[in-house]
Amino acid sequence: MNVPLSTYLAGIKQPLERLVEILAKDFPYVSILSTDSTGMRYSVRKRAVDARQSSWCERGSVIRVFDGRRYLEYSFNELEEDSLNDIEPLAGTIRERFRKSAAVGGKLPFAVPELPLICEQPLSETWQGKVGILPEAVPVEQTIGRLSRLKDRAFELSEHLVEIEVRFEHMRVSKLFVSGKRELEQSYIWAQGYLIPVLRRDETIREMFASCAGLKGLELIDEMEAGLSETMTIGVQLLDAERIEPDEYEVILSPKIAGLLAHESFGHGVEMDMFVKGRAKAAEYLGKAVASPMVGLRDGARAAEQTGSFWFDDEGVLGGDTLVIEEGVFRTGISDLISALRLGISPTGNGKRESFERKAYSRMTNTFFTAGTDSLEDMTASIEYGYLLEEYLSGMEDPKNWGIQGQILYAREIRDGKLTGKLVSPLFMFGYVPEVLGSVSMVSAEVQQFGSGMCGKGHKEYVKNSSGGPYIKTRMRLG
Amino acid sequence: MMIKRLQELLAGVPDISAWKIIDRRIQGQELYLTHREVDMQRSKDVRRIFLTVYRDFQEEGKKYRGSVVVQVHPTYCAGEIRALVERSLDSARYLRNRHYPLVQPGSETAAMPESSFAARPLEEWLSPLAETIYAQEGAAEARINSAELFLSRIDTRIVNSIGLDVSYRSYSGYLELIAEDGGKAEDGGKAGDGRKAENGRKVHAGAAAGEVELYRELSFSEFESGLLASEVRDQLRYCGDRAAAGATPHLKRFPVLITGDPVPDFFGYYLTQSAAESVYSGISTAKVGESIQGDEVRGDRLTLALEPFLKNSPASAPVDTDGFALRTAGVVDAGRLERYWGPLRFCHYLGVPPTGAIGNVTVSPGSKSLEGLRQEPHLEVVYFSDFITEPLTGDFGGEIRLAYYTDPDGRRRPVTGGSVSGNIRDVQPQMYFSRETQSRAGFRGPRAVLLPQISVSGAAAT
Repeated sequence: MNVPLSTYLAGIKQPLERLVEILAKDFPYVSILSTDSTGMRYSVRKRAVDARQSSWCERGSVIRVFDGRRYLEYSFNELEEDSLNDIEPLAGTIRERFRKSAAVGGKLPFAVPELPLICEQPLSETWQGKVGILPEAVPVEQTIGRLSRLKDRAFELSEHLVEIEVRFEHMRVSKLFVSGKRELEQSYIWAQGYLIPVLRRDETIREMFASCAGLKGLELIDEMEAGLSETMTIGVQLLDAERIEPDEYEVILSPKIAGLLAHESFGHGVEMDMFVKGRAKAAEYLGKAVASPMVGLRDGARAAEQTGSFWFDDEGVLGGDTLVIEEGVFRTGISDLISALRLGISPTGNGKRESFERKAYSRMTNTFFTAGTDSLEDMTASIEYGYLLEEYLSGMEDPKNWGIQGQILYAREIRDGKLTGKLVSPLFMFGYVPEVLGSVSMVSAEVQQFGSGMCGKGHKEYVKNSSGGPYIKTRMRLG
Repeated sequence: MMIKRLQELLAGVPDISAWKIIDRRIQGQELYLTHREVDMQRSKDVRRIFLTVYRDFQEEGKKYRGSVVVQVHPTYCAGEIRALVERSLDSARYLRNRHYPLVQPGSETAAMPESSFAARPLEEWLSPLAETIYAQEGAAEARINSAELFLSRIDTRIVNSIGLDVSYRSYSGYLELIAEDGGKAEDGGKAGDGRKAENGRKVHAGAAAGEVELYRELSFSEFESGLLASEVRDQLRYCGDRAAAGATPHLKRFPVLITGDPVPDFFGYYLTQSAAESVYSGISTAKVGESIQGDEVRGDRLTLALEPFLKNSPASAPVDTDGFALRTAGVVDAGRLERYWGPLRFCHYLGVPPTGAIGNVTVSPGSKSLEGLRQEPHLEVVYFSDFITEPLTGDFGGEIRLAYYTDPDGRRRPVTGGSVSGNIRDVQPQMYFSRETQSRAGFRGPRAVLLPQISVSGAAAT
């Protein structure tokens, strides 16, 4: 079924158009992004059940203006009913706020560079996503009941289970973008589920983590149910996991870890606001080889159907499908609108905000390595001593110095071309991006996408996105 | 007005057993700088209202309290709020949580100390803050690549259905600062061109050469120009050292001194272990009166407390999010767990006095000076890519962006790349804290912690 559009956004569309019209008398460019995103998060544990609105919920607006030299923004979320009938007073307040901001900027002991004016092509369109089971259409009792049964089943599966969190979260994202030339509206749903068991045997305590996500509704709980048994099996195996001997190894990255590598290496590394700041090493490598010829990497809101998908970004630019690395050669980066203006290039539809309250940056959407032709069996058979890295907890980028860090939950030992059954946990993978990508020697044929994580810029500005890839064989340092 | 309307609406809802409202008005100013140019200025004026509805019910003689937390956006009309409340109450009756009380009104609440930012309008602080930051350029060869400066004034009010009504004003400052250095590689190489480490092996992850940068974030709630200047100068100096750093040697197991930002994260393990919620859920087995640091402590013993007010900490508050009046609470004394800490709900479940959810942590200084801790060969890590402590298992580690290696001959030199990893339960019998202290967002305690013989993976290939 179609995801319903926001009735709130429909109700404020005309007043916002009028607001843009009024402010356009003072500013050469005016745009407004308004959001109305709702959803719930349910968490079932052994002795506690919680329900709360998702922390991704938001309803508010951000206005961007160009004052002939620079872009200024103002975020707000109070809009009196009177304002909707007579938008002039609100326009006056906003005008005064921008005047104050410009005055403050003028007193700063810094230069204010003159930026070009945003030029948009006219477009007016509305998009609605599809969903299997609309979460709000099902009684909450059923949803909580299914999650509770998962929790109970988990305790039946292992005597070592101390606690488990079964978490399900769904969001309906609705956005409206209005400028002098554009009127865009979209509504879509994503959902994510987590199974986080904690197991203890004597003094050993381990936490397992499994997740799933997609542009889905309640049907995602089917995937959680299907994954429980394997999650618990691995959780029990983790109780016997050992520490790895730090060294460089031949490794196979699972599609999840490949996604982490894509994200931290050439995802963050090609966000083009970093090019503007001179923070991206990749800027020196446009058109040059940065990886093995087997490596291809794409990013784009329309490049895959996952939690990083949308029709237009938070600056009113249509979502794209960008070929970042082609046969090992760095082709282009991903850009927000203002960075593109400064660099004299076309934006790629990667301008994203944490919420209406925050600035737009160049951000990843769905980022993934493209498929190869090898099989996992052949890849495993080709390794004398190494590891299959399966699940991660977090990662960190270093776009200037091309380092990557990944916190890996567990890896499986490979000896003489076979998995030995031995697990190591936890461990770190790290490396120098061109060496890791340059060492890629085998790539499997099937690409998988994962969208349960979130991505920060540095340590803030969290947004939803997805990452993935095929199985990839390379060399990395593990410790 | 909005809160009054909401209270009136809630009063007419039949199945509601109790409710709580947290109302925050946030005014913010943001300045984005690249080198010495203004990238963008932003401001915001937003209101976040969180409503918790509680529904009590009984099953098989047991009393339960289900609760649902929702955000009531200021633009919600009465019909939307009513529908939201009804949906939430419907959900609440399926949340079988043991009953617990709301915070009673009447407790004496300490006054929130006034921030120096209260003296002027927010926007007028951007210039002195930015000037203080950029005035430090020149103290080292490194310079500032970019800075993002956020300053917010937050008015919080917490109201509940049994008459609690508390308010306070706080300030929150945040700086993201990127320092960069053009590099001074010994062999004139550039990043990524395969420099040789001192042992002649090929350099891997992060071995510095050419241009480097260092990322830092700072949180604050006061205009303390001296402290801000000192933090920026340190970062510029460290960035210069990273540019000159060699590859971290493969030390296998080696004493590691962690300093600065990772120290509060490290102690976070003990907060999780002593939290009433962790004990209630069974993931912590810590017992009051027993050692939380293991049986045979040969190093420094941990003393940890929670403080509602810590100077320059945005986490300072007179009450927690339930409106519970906060007081200083000693949690660990000389390695022995004194009490569980936590919000009213989980302390009530355990039958222990609540401390409330307090945002600031203090750890008592240790027995040795920094110089004393540096006497033996060690690796002193001052910057990680992202130091991670798993508060449940005690696993910790991270990739090294800058460390100082003191070798067996007593020579100290900057190194980069590689990683450290270990488990707190393995190191806690023999860890030492510095006598010198530091103040970070929400933390006051030792500047450094010396960990015995943990795994150090080098940046050089074998």
